[in-house]
Amino acid sequence: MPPSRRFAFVREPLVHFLVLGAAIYGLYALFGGPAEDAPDHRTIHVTAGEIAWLEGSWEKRWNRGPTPVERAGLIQEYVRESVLYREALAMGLDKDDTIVRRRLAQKLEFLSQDLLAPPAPDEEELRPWFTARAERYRAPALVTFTHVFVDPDRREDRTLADAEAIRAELQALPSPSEGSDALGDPFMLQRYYPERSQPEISKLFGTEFAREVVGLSPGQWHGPVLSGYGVHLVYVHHREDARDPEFAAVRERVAQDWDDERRQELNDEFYAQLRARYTVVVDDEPSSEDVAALEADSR
Amino acid sequence: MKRFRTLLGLALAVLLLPSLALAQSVGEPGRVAGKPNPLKNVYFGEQHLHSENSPDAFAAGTRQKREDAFRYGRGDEITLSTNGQKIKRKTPYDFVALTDHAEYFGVMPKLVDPSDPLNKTALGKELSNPTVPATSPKSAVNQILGSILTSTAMPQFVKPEMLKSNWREAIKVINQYNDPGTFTTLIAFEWTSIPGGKNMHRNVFFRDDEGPAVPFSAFDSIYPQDLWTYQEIQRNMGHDNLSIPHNGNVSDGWMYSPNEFLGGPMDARYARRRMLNEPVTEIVQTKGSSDTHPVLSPNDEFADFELFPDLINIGKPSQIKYGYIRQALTDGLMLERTLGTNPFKYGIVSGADSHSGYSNNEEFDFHGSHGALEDSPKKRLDPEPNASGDMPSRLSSAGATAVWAEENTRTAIFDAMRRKETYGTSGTLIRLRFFGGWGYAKGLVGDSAFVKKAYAGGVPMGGDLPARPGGVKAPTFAIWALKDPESGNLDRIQIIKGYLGGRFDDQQEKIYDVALSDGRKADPKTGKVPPVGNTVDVEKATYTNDIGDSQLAVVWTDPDFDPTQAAVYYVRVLEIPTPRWTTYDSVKSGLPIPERIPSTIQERAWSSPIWYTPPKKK
Repeated sequence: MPPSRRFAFVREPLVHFLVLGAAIYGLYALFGGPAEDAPDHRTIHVTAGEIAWLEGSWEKRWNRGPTPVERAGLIQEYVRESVLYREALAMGLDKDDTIVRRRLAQKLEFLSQDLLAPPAPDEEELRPWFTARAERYRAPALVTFTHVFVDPDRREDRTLADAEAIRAELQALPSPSEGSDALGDPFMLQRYYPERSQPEISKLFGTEFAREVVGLSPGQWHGPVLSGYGVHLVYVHHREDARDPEFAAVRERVAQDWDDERRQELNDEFYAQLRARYTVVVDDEPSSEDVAALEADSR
Repeated sequence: MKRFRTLLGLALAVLLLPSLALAQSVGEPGRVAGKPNPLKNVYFGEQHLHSENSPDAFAAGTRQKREDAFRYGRGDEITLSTNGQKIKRKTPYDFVALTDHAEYFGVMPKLVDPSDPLNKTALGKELSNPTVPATSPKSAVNQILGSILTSTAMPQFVKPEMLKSNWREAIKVINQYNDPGTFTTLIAFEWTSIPGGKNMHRNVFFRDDEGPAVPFSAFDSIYPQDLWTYQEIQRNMGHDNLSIPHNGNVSDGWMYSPNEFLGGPMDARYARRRMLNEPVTEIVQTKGSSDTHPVLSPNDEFADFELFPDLINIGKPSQIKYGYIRQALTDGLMLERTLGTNPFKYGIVSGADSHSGYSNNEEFDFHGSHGALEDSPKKRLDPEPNASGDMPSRLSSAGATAVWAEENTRTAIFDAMRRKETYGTSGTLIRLRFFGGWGYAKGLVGDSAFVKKAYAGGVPMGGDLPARPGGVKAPTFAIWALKDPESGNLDRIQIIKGYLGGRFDDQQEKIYDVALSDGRKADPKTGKVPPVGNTVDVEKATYTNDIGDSQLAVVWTDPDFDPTQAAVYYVRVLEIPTPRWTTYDSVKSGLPIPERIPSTIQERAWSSPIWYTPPKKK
């Protein structure tokens, strides 16, 4: 059953956030708010809860609880920090401070990220999502090939005619693996390369040759194919096309990516809604055309 | 070959049509993809690079992260922190080691991070909101660099807990990018001893995935033998390691000196520890070549290559003697006579030493080495010296390291460096095989089992010739070089031989042109080889591969061999001239190239040597 439009606002992230935020605030006020909320602003009350928290942090750091002396020291340090903190607030030192600004913005970001966590997706959501993005999970095409090198430094003007003749001989062989060794010119690289991707072939033969070879049809001799070295005759034994993996094999990665993407969407949405409540004026802001031109320039 | 290339263009369209189908199912020969190859594959990569976590890189304005260095290396697009430009490699690397300085390791980014306690130190405040100009000796940057140059640490920035935590942070990222079989990263740091400008720098590499608790810095000691002690202790604790000295060219004659650093003649123990801890050395990087100098090799017409002759940051000439590898290799033979150990039995690698957080070895896509100091053609072509001590156009594009290993993993690459089955290039990705033995057949080149037979009949680069069999007069060497498919053709293969002999029974050097492209022959009278030519159009920064060969191969026998004398052989492969990075910059910007900077470069590869040691006299 589709959700009623009347309650569509219930699905808005901002609404979620405000409701949850209000709830947290309410709970906090009920069960011991911070000392500065107490009627007497000059009282610093170090509660049992705060002491337990101090002890806990100590233990995390040192792998043991504090001694009584250390415990007293922790409390005094906490009091000292509280005094300085309140005085700093009173003096307005939190205003226009880079670290405070950043820290508070971060805090809200973290809070919203936790509160806006998307629910775990079920199979029905994940499958079509995966199908639409299958390219991202695709294994590269792999080519298994044999090549015979025809050396232009050796054969000069005869290179192409020789390549033709050699190709005819290669075609006459009962199998491309038998006897092709005896044809063509010596070459430092291997003649046979099993299951290589285009980037791997590029590293060996250069980009031009690799682009050519991944497009060749299997089961026949091709050529001449050019590389930075010279001329090659190429036999593709087998071409494993780029293939989309089974959903089950990559399910975990897909779920993680789904989660990342959904989280990002929710956060963007949340920010967009907050941002919509502000009018922003930037002095001397470059237009979007200016930015595009600048980017093109730096290319 | 010129006519051929033209013909090819015309004929291509027709011939690309596939020939008739050969319907065959095939039983496959050869190895299975992804399995270790006992005959070794070559892996290209970086073993010397700095991110923003090196204080001098940060000071030069680099804000490139560790992640950027690895991502660029493996072929991702990254954004240069200094100017926002997007860059991507044409040919991805197989491995990258980031070697940030151990001195103030990872401290700089924290000094300007408002949420970090270091930001509240006087230095942090000065760096974030400078009160004195950057050029003042009191500026934050100069305080930091000054303290490194004088090896006096600022105590609050070298606290053990801080160093430990910064180092852990680094290892986490390094391991995160290590992808066995596809892309290797190594745990590494640079020990930066440079008292009075005498560059004794060494990069230290670890074999394991855990690494040591902390790196060793020049604040701990400026003496190499103390670094070796650290290395030996770490090895005993299960963190096998090796170090790689670099920039002998700016060590003021100390890097390959027969003396202990700042002391008297080295003894046998010093020599042994040196070879135990540092099996390979770096032959070229952005601050110049340490192969040789024209003063040391007056008969080498290609010795005048990418020289960076002045002490870093100081600008005074570095002493030439004992600063270059070729001399060290031959001096090592002499020292072995008296010490019983050759202290300079070095394999060869190359590096970037870029302080811009990316490996800038692709000559045609160079964006500077020192962050914001060199982030535009205008700054790079400025004829005034910058902080490097020389004008930036003097700096080279990065070198590249090649290792022959069974597979692309951390241990396999480390082990290849340990056994010196490595070579260095000036940045180009030339493939080079080099074997030495006592009986390679002339026809080995062209044999489809070349590599198998070469391993079986001798040793690869980095090895010692086995004992000479009776009746064999001289060693033979099998060499095969294949060009970088994205770079210039090959000009020639040379063997450089260092040996003891002559009238005074002392260090000698000889260069043999053993394979020449385009069917050239040496003049029988003078021994001179006609130059390969030059197709570079300096006005357009272009060249063609109409000259030179794609590959060169040869089996060569030493015609001057004396079995009573020690000898060391290494290969140098030269490419045809191509535009130097300064020429690309000049064409891009319309600015002139500063005087005395060549407009073309003959990129090259240097192999690790193969040694011959005569039998001990009874």
